[in-house]
Amino acid sequence: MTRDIHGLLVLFAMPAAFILIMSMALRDTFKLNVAEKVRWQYWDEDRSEASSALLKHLPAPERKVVLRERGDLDGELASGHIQMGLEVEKGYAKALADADNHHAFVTIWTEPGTPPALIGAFRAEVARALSLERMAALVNATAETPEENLSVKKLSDETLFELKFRRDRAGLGELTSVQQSVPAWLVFAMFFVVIPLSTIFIAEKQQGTLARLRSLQVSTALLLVGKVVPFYLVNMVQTGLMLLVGRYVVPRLGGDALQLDVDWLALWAVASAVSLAAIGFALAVAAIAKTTEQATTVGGVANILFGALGGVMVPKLVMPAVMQSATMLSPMAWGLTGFLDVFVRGAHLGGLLMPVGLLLAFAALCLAVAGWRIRQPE
Amino acid sequence: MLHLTDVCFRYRAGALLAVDHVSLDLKAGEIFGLLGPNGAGKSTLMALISGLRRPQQGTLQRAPEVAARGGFALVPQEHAFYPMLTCRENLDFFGGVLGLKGAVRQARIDAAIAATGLEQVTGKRASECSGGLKRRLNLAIGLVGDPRLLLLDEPTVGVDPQSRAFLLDVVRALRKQGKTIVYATHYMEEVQQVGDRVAIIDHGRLLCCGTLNELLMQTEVRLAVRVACPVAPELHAQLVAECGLETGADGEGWLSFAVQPNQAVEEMLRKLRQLGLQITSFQYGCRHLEDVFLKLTHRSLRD
Repeated sequence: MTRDIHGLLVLFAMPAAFILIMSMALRDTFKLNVAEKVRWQYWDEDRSEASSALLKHLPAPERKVVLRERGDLDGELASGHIQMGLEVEKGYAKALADADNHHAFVTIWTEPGTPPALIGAFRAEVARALSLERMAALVNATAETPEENLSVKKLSDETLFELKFRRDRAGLGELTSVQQSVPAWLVFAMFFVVIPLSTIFIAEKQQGTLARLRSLQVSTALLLVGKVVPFYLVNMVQTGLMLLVGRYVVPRLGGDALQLDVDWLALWAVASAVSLAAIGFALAVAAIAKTTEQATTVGGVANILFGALGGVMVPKLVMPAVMQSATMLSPMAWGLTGFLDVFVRGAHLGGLLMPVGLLLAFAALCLAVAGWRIRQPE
Repeated sequence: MLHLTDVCFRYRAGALLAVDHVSLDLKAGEIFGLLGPNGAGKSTLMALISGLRRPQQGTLQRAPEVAARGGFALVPQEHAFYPMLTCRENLDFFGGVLGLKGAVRQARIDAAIAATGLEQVTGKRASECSGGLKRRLNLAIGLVGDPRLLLLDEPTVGVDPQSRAFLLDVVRALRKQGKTIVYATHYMEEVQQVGDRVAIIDHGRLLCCGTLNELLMQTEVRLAVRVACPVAPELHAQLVAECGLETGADGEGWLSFAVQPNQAVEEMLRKLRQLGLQITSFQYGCRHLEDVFLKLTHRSLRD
C-alpha cells in the first residue's frame, strides 16, 4: 500500500479529512437554537434600563458589542461582519409603558446575504423579548393605574411594537439558492483547471517539449504566461456560461433567477482574481508533480477539501463560528466571499480589496513556486 | 564551435557522476557521434551542451554563433511537440517561439519541411502521424531556427529501417549544408554510417574519442570465413585452440577468427582448409565499433 501514496491519499486521507471538515461545518445545522448562530450588534440610542433589559433577553448576549455611533451599525452590516443590526430608538422606555403607542421604536436591520431562516429565527427572538418587556411594563403601569381605567384589550398583541425589516439596497440582497450556488460552484469549477492544465503541463515535461522550449531560451516567465493566458480565457468563458445558466436556465426549472444588476467591473475583478489563483495553484501542482496521476490526485483532492472548507458544499452562513473562521484558510472561500459581495451585497471594486488581494497574493505565491520548480532540473 | 573541459555533473549529492570529467572539442561542420548504452550519460551530456543543465565542475564554452538565440537546437529523444497541432502548426509555433516573423518564418518552415520530406503531411495532426513521420517532425522543428549546431538525441529510436535510412540521409545532407551535428545513439551502425568523429561514453566517462578509423584501428583485424558444412564439435575445439576462432558459425555459416599482426592471411586460410573446412567465401579486415566498445568496457553495447 505504501507504494501507492496517491491511492492511499484518495481512499483514506481524503475521506477522513472530508468527514472531519463536513462534520464540523454541519455541527449545528440540526440543532434548534438557530438564532444562536446569528452574528449581530445593536445601537441603543435610548440608553435606558428598559432597553438594556430588552437586550438581555436576546440570544448570545456575549456577541453584542456596544457601538460608538449609529453609522457603525451600517458599516458593520455593509462589510458583512454582522448579519443583523438591532436599533433601539430614543423614547423606547417611555413608549414601552404607553399602551396607546404604535410607533416602532425597535428596528431590525439585516445584512443582505442572511438566509431567511436566520432572519425569521432572530425576529422571533426579538418579538419574544419585546413581548416580555412590554408585558412587564404594562403590568407595572397597571399597578399604578386605578382599576376602573384598566383595559384588558391593551395587553393584546395589537399593542406590541412593530418590527421593521430593511435591506441594505433595493433589488439586492435576497439570498436565494441560486445566488449561493452559482458563485460557489463557479469558484469550484474554476479551480478544477488543475486537471487539464496539469495533464498538459506534465505531458510537455515528459515529452521533452518543455526541455525543447527551455533550450530555445524561452524564459520561465513566458512559459508561465503561455499557460496562464489560455486558461484565464477558459475561466472567463466558464464564468459567462455559469452566469447564463443561473440567469436563464434555473428559472425555467422553477428556481429563482440570478440577479445580475451588479457592478460588472467588480464582477470581472473577482472572476479574474479567482481565475489567477486557480491557475497559479494548478501550475504549482503541475510543476511539483512528477506524473499526471500525482497531479490529478493531489490537485483534485486539494480542490475538494478547499471546497468543503471554503463554504462551497455547505454555505458558510450555516457553519458554527469556529468553522466560519476556518473557511478563510481556503482560497475558494476568498473567491466565494468576493462573488457574494458583488451579487448579494452590491459591492464595488473598492469594497473587494480583501478577497481580491488575498486571491492575487495566493496566485503570486503559487506562480513563484511553479517558476522556481520549473527552473530546477528534473 | 564547442569546447568542454573536465565537465562533471551529478543529479544528487552523493550519487555517482552522470558526466564524469568529460573533455572534448567539437569542430565546425562535423558529425560527432556520441555512442553509449542506455544510461551511459549521453542525454545528460546533451542537456549540458544545450544549457538545460549547468556543469557542476569544469567549463563549457560555446562559439558566439552557437551561443546566440537559435544558434543551436536540441532535438530530444521524445516526440517534443504538440500532438493536437498539425505538423505545420507545430513548426509555426516553434518558429514564433524563436522570434521568427513573416516571410522569414514561412521560408524557414518550408525549408524544414523540404529537408525532412514532410510535404505530404503538413496539414495532418501530429498525433495522427506514423512513428517515422513523428521522428521527422521532431527533427524538422529543430531545423526551423536554421541552427549552426544540431543536437540529435537518439533521433531514430522506434522507427522502421526505411525511416531510419531516410533520417540518416537527412543528417548527411545537413552536414553538406555546413551544420555541425552531435549525434547521440546506442546504435553503433548509425554512428559508423554518418559519424566523422566518434566518442564512446559509459558510466559518464568518455572512454575514447577520435575518427572512426582511429577507433577501429584499436581493435584486432578479423578474418571471417563462410563454410559450406556444419563444423563438427571436435573440429570446433581444434579451431579455437589452434586458429583463434572467436565465434562459431552463425545462421549463414560465418566463422570469425582473430588475426595476429604477424600472421599472414594466406597462411591462415591454407591451414583452415587443411583442417577440413570447406570455405566458400571470406572477408578480411572486418572491424566494428562493437568490438571497440567490448574491448573498452568488456561488455556488449546493448547489455
